[in-house]
Amino acid sequence: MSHVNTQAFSGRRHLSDGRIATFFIMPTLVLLILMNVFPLFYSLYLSFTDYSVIANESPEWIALDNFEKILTTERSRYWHNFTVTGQYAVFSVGLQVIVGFSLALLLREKFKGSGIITTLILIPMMLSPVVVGLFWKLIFDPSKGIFNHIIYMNPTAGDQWLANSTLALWAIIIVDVWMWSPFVMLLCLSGLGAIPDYLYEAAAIDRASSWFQFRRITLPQVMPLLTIAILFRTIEAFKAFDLVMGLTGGTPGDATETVSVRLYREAFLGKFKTGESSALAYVVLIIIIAVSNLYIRSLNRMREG
Amino acid sequence: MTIPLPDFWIVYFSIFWVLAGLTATPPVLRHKGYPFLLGLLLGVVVGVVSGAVFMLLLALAKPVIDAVGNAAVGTVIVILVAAGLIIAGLGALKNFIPTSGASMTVAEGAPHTPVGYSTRVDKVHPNWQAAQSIRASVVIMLAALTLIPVIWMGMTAFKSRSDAVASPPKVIFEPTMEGFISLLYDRRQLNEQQVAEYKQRDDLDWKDKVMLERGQAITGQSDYVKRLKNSLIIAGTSTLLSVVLGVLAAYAFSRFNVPGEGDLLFFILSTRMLPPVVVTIPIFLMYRELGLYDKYLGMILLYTAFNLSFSVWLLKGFIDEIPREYEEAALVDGYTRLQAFIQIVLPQAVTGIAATTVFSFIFAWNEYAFALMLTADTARTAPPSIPSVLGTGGIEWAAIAAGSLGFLIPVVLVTFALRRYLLRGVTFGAIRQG
Repeated sequence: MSHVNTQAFSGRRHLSDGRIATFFIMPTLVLLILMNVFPLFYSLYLSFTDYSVIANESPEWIALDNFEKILTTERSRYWHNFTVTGQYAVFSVGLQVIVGFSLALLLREKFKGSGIITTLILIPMMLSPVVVGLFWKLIFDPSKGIFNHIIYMNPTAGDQWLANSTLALWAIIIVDVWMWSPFVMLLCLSGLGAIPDYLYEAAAIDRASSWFQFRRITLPQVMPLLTIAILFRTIEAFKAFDLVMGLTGGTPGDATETVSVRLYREAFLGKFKTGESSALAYVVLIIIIAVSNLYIRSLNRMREG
Repeated sequence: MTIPLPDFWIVYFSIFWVLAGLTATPPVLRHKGYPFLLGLLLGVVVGVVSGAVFMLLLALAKPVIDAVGNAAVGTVIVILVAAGLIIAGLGALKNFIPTSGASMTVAEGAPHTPVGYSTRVDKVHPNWQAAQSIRASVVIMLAALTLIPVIWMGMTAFKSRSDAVASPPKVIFEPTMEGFISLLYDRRQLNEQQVAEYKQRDDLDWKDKVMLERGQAITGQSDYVKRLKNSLIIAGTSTLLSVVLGVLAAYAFSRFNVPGEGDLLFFILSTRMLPPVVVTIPIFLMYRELGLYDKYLGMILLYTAFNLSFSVWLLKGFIDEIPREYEEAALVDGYTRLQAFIQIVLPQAVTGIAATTVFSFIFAWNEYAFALMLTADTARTAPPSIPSVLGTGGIEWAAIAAGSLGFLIPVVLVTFALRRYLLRGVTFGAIRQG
């Protein structure tokens, strides 16, 4: 018996823990470096060139010209897209926080069937954004869709949501709020569930008003999770592509053309301005990396705390 | 005098008031010592009456809405004020109900009004219970509102081509499988003579007959079937790969002292944050050079990388929860690290692995941007091809709805199956549900 044990022991020696760790982690790192890091360096190089995929010329170095086209006010061709994305991000994330947090407050105390109701509310979040966008297109249709029939007293005189350049962005925001408020709700619910009861008991003994309890206990206790939700949704809003493509594709005109949609059009549809769109991609990337930095930090704080 | 609301909302609010009355009245009456059944009966009455009062208030408030200027804002304000008034009125009315013989009076010295969220005694107070019933009614009605688009999609999938685009939209219609058939089969338009000829034939199955009503003959399977198959192959393989690689990496991160662990994990997660459009431009060029454009292998590699960061983080959370003592005991018993990992840790982590698998599959299944830009035909998946299901002369909404429905049903089932893990899934395993 002892003989077997020694063998096993020496076998373990053979494949040390450190080596196992390396073997286990390497494939993941290699794949991620190949598929993410390398392409990013490649496009960093391209962003300083005037390369186009369809032209048969090799890339020519034009230094910062691409970035000048994007960032300087006189020459910017993309300012509009950044404004649209910014508006979209601010309004949809803001509304999601309000709706999601209110839903969480309503669902805070369990009742019979609250579990099923919560899950039902969560369904939109799991759906494919492009399919959702496409389908809401029919819902928003002024004559065939149900949206105007629900909203207006006189549906036929209602607005043409997707054909009106101001309302089209709001249509996207409405769908985004419909899809992602449940996400905020889910995080807030978890935050609310973790608030210790004794805080409220102490407040009740001190005859604190319910507004005071909300402002001084509920809000600060939920804040870390709400921050995570806000950051995550902000990142996603800056990436907005699937939903917009399904719902409007950037139309009418370029009224709902978010940065990602513009990027897609510049890089792939007809124009194939690879160099310039790589530069635009980098600008977007820097914004997103800044926000995700905050996001991952707060996730880590949550994990350790 | 008209109620300034579209028909839909009149029905909606009526249901709400009956629901609220029905659930909020019994606890109050029971507290006063009346039987439960009487509470239910009276609840219906209270619901109907408060619904009627609500509509009356709205009708009276028409000038207020006009005064606000913006119809939407005005209506919302009036609705909130009216609901508040009714609930406050009912609350006041409650005090006039005489107590019956066996009433459950509040014990001497106990709080008479709710003191807070959590104190146990206040949860049996009728005020609290009634408020909770109203809260629950609001939530149920909101959930119903949320589901309307999904239900509408389900209904449209079974509509005929003309019903799907009827104006005003049809709520009641004759169900047909037309949408599904148009989605899955290619058709050819027939002229009247051909239709007559086709009707004579006796080798037609039900699908042919349905389409013949529309004057079309089925000519074969549509491209969509191929796309669905592609979706399954690509999502399935990449999920498998990312979970296998993910579980290895997660185990290593969880159990060993990996130098620079924090930074590595940070790096892994940050790859997930990259916008697909940004990554696609260089990958497109790279794939074109390597001959991976529009190939299964290319898409599988990409989706694996895309899901890997997620699966490493989620699985690390699950493995962290398995006590180290199990493995340590196994190691003392002479297992090697690998044996301990395979025989002790993996069986313990099976729920976590299953949840991760399903989440990864859903992400790959729903993915649109990469597929749109990096595939053309051979490896194209379903999401980018649903928008292009166009019929002869206009968009075939029934077919699109059928495609969407087929796409959504698995996701809905999964949402239910995974509801305990949803929070973990969406926060990369950082936050656990209580």
